[in-house]
Amino acid sequence: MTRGRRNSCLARLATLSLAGVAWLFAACAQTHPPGVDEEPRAPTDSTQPSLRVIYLIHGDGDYAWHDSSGMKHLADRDALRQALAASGRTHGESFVFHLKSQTPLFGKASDGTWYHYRDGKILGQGRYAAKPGDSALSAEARVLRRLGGDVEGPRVLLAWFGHEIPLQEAAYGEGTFGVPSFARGLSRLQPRVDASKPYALLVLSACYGGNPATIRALAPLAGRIVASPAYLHLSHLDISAFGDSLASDPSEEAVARLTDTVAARSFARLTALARTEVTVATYDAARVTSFLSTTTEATGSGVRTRASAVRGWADCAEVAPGFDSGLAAQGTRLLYRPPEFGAGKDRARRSAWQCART
Amino acid sequence: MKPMIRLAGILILAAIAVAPASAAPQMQGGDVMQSRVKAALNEMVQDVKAAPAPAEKRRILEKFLGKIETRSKWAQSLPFVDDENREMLAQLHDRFATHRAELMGTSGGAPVTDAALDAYASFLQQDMEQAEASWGNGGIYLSTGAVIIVLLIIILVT
Repeated sequence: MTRGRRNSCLARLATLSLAGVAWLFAACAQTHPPGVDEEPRAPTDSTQPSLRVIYLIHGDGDYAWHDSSGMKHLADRDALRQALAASGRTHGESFVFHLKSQTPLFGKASDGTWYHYRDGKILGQGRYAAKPGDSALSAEARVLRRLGGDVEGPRVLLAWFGHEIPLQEAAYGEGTFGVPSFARGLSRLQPRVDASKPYALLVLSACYGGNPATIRALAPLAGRIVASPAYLHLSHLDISAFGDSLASDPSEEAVARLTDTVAARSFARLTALARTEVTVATYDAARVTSFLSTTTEATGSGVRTRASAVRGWADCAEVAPGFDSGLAAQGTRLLYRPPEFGAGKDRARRSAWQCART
Repeated sequence: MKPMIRLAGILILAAIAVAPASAAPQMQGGDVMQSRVKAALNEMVQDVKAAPAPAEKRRILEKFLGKIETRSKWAQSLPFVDDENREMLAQLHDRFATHRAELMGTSGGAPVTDAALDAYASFLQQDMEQAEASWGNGGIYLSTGAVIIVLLIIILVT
């Protein structure tokens, strides 16, 4: 080998090595999305948005499911895509929180990722971490406060995507989670600033959300609620209508129309997708109070323990003592299709309320 | 050879599942288990849909349901299964026995028609996938130990 050729080979080797090292560093590097967390800052635009939309997507645990072609999906990723798409079309301010812990090989551990949009444009995204002793949604409330401040006056919509929420507090991670702490967390996220309720509409995309205990806990916070009293396949309520402009018409009638649209689209999507029971209901918080105040349902066992899971849930019409079907229908609208197979396939009707079996 | 490879896979998965997962709120080993169970279900459903004749579709469904029914009953007698998990396994057994009876028409109703077999397979899959509704403890309301048993039932035993 000549000296020139040897030098050329060495140079090439050095280049390759450098490229290799560069690739290695690039491969190992933590990817930092724009506007990364730590101290997320509020946008310089100080105009108050007339609409605020908050998406909470729980991502811990296994959310895998398969479609009819056998393709695997992750329900939390689907929900995230749906929320980001709606945020990109919303005239107002949107916050998307993907509650999913990450412990990277290098860098800081985090408990979730936030995305902040205004008038359809993304202003930033980043990761955030809970502090020791934090309660449910405390970390998200901190991020929201820092980014959006305590905005007074806007219509606020909130959608929750996740597994069934236990009726009573249950151990989760280093703390607990259940309907009581969820309700407190929602209060923390959007504090009440006057006599009006902080949320115009809550969408609860979780199994068995339409039960008296949960609606009773959330009714003081929201004007209207969309939830499923039965199991909700893949936690897939359709919130694409959140992207439609409510900012230009924030009237009660517009919120009512939006509520019905969310329920109708969700029902259409689920009936096209699932062969199991599909049940989506809307609850007008002011009009369901009579039913809630007179209903005594089983909540003592909660739903978290495996023993109570065996007992499971049932239509309140079947298990709630003294169930009054007329009263139960007040303030609710139910979209229901029985399963194609199984025990409930011949049941043509049901109520909008689900109760834990005693 | 194939059973040995499968057994090795089970043992690896079992080791992952029983590994401490206290650092994270979710049980990642349990997630791996659930994914494997769901993959096994999905394979069955796709096999049914790919089968050219109704008799073959029915055979695959009956074999799958019968296997879980039989093995979940067997698993209840294992010495290391505690009462709570035994109750869960009994529940699983009853659930699949009901599905099988519906498929075969032995519960008083008509059997699932030939034309509805693909749909029935999808129904079973959705019924199982949406049964996962728990926080942190790995779906279908079974503890990690019981999930391993379910895996044994569904995957190992052919």
